[in-house]
Amino acid sequence: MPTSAALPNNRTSISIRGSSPSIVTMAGKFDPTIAGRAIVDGLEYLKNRLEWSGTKIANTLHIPANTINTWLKKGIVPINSSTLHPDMQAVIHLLAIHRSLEAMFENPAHQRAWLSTHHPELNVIPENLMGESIDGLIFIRQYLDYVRGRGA
Amino acid sequence: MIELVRVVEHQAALSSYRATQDEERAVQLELLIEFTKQKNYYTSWHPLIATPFRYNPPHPEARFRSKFGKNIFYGSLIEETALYEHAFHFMKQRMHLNVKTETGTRTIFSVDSDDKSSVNVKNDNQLSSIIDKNDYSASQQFVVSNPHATFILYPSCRDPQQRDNVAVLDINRLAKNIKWEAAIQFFYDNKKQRMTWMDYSLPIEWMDVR
Repeated sequence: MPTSAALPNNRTSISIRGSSPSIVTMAGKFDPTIAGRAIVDGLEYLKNRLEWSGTKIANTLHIPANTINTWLKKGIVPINSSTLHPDMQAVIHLLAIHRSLEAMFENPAHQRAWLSTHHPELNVIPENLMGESIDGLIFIRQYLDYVRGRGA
Repeated sequence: MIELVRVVEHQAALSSYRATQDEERAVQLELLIEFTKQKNYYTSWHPLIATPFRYNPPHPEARFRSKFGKNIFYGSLIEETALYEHAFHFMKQRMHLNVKTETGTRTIFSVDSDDKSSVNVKNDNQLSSIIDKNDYSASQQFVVSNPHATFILYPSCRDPQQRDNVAVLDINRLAKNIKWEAAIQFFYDNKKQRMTWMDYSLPIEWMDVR
């Protein structure tokens, strides 16, 4: 093994990850009803971890607060087909951002700090950019995908 | 063939399970997130290998990769170099935050790569510019000047001993599955600007890698 450092003792020589069914191969199993409930779970989890209100989520996504709060109250988001409405895509972008932050920072206070602190490389406060437009939301999502790939 | 090592965060999918506390719903949530990503055309490769090749331009600029440049898989020839590289990107996302300490795990893995016709920048007269810590323009120009180079060996500017990294610009040079992997633990102290890889007893100062 090519190393000059001490080795961790939990290494495996063979990965079975690639042989497990991925969500890509499970694409045929998309279920709009379960997915609609899963989105509410994701939003509730985000509210709890980031300490965001339904109104803050609504403002960030430019969706009426009543709509978000109705989804949360009913426990389901209506999804009528596998083609996602632009509002629903915005919701998924936000959940994907939170998913990245969860992977980067175990402590939710650090997730909140990352979102609300001026970022020296981006030269912007991330949550402000996310709330400006759908393009801002997508930009932050892609930036987090990129930095996670590099080691953040 | 040569073995490349890389350190990544690879725990994102767990978030959907934590959020839903239900396997069926977690799968559906992951599926929705997948729907809104660019399509992965390299499904026969392990996700850790395919992901760097997934996204179309424009990209955030990186070493050897301009905004509209080719996708790149970065690896190191030894683990310690990979740990320094990861530490730089890790600390870069935290140095500006008002936080104290952090503990967690990351994934280290290796993959075999075909190093035939590799290009080594070590003797290039622009070497110091190519491995500049902050300015990637010379490295991007190098790729423009060497359009057929798809396996570039270069000294790491984050590793104090400047041991070699590799930029792989063609996924076909990489094996389809990873060779080995391990979960490794870290402790990060924001005030001291230091990240310690606990399994390797390797503390890394921000001053060393920035």
